[in-house]
Amino acid sequence: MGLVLEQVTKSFGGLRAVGGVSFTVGDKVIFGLIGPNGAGKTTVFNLVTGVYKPDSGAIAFGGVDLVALKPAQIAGAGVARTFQNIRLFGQLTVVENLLVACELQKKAHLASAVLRLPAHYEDERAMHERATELLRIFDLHEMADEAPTSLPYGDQRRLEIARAMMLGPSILLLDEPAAGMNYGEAEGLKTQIRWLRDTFGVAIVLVEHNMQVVMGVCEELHVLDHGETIAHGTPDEIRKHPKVLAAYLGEDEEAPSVRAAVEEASNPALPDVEPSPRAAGEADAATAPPRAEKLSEPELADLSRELTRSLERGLAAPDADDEGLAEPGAKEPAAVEAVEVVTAPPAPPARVDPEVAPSAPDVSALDGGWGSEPEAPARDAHANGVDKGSNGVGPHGDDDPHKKEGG
Amino acid sequence: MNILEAVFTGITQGAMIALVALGYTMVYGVLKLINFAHSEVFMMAAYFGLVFLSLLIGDVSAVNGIVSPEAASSTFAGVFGALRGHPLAAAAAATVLAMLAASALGIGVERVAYKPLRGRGKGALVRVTPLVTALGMSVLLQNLAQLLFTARFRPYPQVLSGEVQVPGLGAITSSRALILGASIIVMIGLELIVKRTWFGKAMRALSANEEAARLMGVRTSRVISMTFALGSSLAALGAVLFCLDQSQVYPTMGVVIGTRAFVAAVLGGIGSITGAMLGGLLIGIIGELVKLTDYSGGVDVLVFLVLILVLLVRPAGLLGSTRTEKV
Amino acid sequence: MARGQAGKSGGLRWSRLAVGAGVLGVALLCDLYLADFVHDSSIRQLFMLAACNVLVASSLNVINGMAGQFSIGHAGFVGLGGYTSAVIASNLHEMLGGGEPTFARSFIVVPVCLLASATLAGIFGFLVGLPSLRLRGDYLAIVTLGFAEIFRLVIATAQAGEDGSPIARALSRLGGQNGYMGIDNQGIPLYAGPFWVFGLAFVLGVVAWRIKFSGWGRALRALREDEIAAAAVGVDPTRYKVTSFVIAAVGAGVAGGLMAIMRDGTPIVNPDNYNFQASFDAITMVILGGSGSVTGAAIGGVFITFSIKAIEQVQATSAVQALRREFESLDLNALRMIVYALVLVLLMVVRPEGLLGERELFQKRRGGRGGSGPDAPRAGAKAEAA
Repeated sequence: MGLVLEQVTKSFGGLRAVGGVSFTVGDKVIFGLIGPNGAGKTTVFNLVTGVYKPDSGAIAFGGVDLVALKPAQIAGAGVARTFQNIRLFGQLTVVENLLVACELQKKAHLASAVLRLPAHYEDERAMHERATELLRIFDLHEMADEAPTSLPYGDQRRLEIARAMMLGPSILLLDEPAAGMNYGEAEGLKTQIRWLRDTFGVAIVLVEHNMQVVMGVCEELHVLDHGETIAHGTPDEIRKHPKVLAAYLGEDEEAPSVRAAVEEASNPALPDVEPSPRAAGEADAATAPPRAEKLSEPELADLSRELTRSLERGLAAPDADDEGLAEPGAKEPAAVEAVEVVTAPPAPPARVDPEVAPSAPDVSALDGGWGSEPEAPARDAHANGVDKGSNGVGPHGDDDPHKKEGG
Repeated sequence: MNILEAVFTGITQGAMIALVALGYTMVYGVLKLINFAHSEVFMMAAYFGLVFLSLLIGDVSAVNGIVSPEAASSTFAGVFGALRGHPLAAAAAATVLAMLAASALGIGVERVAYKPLRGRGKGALVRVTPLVTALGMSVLLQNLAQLLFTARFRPYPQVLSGEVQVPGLGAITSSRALILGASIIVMIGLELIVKRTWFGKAMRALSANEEAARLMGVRTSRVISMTFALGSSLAALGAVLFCLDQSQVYPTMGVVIGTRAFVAAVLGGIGSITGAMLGGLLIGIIGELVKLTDYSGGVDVLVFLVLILVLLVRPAGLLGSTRTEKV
Repeated sequence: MARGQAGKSGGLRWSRLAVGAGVLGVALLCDLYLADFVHDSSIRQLFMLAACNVLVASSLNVINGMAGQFSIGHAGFVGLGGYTSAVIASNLHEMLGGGEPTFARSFIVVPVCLLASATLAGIFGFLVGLPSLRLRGDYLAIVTLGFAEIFRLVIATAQAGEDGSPIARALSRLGGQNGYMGIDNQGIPLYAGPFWVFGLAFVLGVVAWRIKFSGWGRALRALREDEIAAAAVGVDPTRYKVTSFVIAAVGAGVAGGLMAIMRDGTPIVNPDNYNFQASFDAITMVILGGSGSVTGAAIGGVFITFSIKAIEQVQATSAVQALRREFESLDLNALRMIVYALVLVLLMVVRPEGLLGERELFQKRRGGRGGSGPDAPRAGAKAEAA
């Protein structure tokens, strides 16, 4: 049966974030949901997981109507997810983060915990075993008692996936798992995603900007733009789809120069540029300077001009960042005027979006993903041992001596 | 017509409640914080008004124990002596003074209890900590009033006597007419301030996104202080008007009126200024209509039930908008 | 944590049972002989009141500390329990033939009273908690405040003539502003001796501890931090919050019920015992000790009880009485509240997590991290026994 969306729409204020999207994710499929910033991808995730309720349309998973369920019940129905901006429980230890996800499966309830009945111990033991096993699989077991906030960024992302897997889901929604990862880490992620599917038999839906990952791992792609479906097919079909190219690269004349600048920026040395260990997504400013140093003066000026222009547009339309349109502040009287602007001009090309452009992996990904063979550089990277930060899950991670660095 | 009269009284009551509710709603709009201390600022303002009014009309019997008669005659007599014998002018001057004093108090509360917390705290404490300090300030002010003014009920000098003829309604007391008139003017003024002035724009910007507002050059601290000052002075206006009509001041009056005003703000949609006015009017009218029935003592019970009902049916209030968290 | 404990839980359970039996035995001895050792009944009252307040604090701690919500009307639930227990105890006493409240009879009266108190408080907890906990945390604060005030006002102002509605007549029999003094104003029979008070304080303290260090407590901590993420892993925010609120209300009901029929206590329940100040005292107990810490709540409960008593003592001294004649407005209790409020505000600015934070007094620290105290059930049992 899988996950079925039928004509799902969702508006925030006057803005149509998702307009009549339909798709089906079969069992054990790796499914990519892509599109430029603001296309409504994360909103689709939020609709599936019950964070928002759709205005119309149907969402079902394995024959169960998800629209009627609360988020926790949807999690219980076998739909697990991760978040774009990592949402771990910072005050709980790493292992506790996983244990929380067991609450639903527990047979013993509060009363037996208070009375300390055998069922309580049985449960605790079973939960711990599972958690330990998963931590081992995700190569996090040595940090079990540490605070998740002290982990490097990549580990945090994997911890979030481990937590989601603790639910024993049938489908896993990953929201930009490669954000902030460097080239090598992204390669590792691809292996991990495939491995997850093969080992646990879960279907995986991927929202991702990193084309290296999307094109390399997805079996089916669904492309959204401005909340509407513009294409659906295999990666090869999507790569050539004219509408997709238009949506991603934009049609206005600025695009080529921007592309040139960005491509220039993504020189081969990039994979070595480690994203700052803490939340690279938030720390764009921290990762930007080292890259800028690699540009020549005129290029730098060019790039900064483009960025300024797109920033200005971004400010005129503050909700243009990805899923920012989900910001319900849009309903506040004060913000309404601003929202109206969003609907007018299409957002600037995704690649110069202030949020995406300065993040190294995305740039290199676009470089490798569109046009050239995506797999070739990957093999190179492996051969050269560039990806010492890959922290591979399972098959890859276990024999990598460098995986602990920074941990 | 009994009911018509009750509705009219309810409107005047409601206008007064709305003035207090505005303070809750404005602070909530800007800081996303329920300012528990607001009801106590209201109470303190009633005392301020009492003290100023007593001094201005030269009758300190109501404030005995707070102001000694000698001090009253020496300091104020010369300055405000001119107002003696003009009770209306004295009342107006006392109201303005009380509003100023309450503004200062409101800003003080913000500086002491909320400002040090802003942008601090970690994890789960972020939400609860300001609530604790808000509550702490509320308890502090209430007990301070008890220490300063004692727990006894103090009568307000009755400066507004007489009645006004209103076509269609007959005679109403002039204090009620004044409440109504003043409230309408203030609410229109507030609407203009919020919609038309720089301060109003800054306030709304702050409400929508504090970080962005700061980046755009809004001095957030100052706007927050001004919001507190504005809210507190409105509460002071409500307090003095209320006391001129109901004529009693006591340290726990803030709890009683404050709860009603808060319910009014929630009913109308907390964060929405028009909502607070509407909620205030509704609460006022409901309260007066209940008084017509046998359960006249049950006003607060009913107000509470209204609150629960609103939360169940329409949590964002009548005019409010739901804010869902960005994921 | 609990890993590996299943294996040795056999021996562990026996030692725990022994500790429990020991504590109850001590409580039993207190019940029988405390009056012989401590002759001053006001001292005995103080100790038992402290135990009751520990219950008040640890029940509030479930919702304010563990669940990270903010209830400021705890006194309402305490009062609900108090009145329920007082009325039932009086009627049962009458049915059992009156006379002195004996220890043997307390085994009938006290459980019935407390069960009724707990149930009623729990029902009202659910009614109040469900609508407000579905929404932002601040709503709970104001709704609980409203609930407590209304409970107090309804009782204090209830006075109906014979022609009033049945509800009004029933309410008016609770004595209104003067308080309820049992049937025919002969006083509430004070059945709950030290055995019940100390015993229940111990047992419910252990329950609070186990709630905190169970999967439930872990889920609450997760919820407190990030509701959306918690919901995404199957922790239903509303269900967990409402249940913990009901647990808190039930605990408050039991505490109130105990206080109302506490031996050496006053044979009267008065609406003024359950005013906002009482709620604020409860909040202070929890926050001073450290939000979320069970032992912290206990420390806070004892400290606040003693300080209130101390103020009363000082207030009664002749020197203060003389001062009061001089300065009419001198009210030491108001002064105490001001000091507490100041301390609370200052604490929030300087050390928002309170004295212990979320840590426990007798807890092994692991991994060098405080705050998220991992499971330490054995240490807990000892802590409570100590």
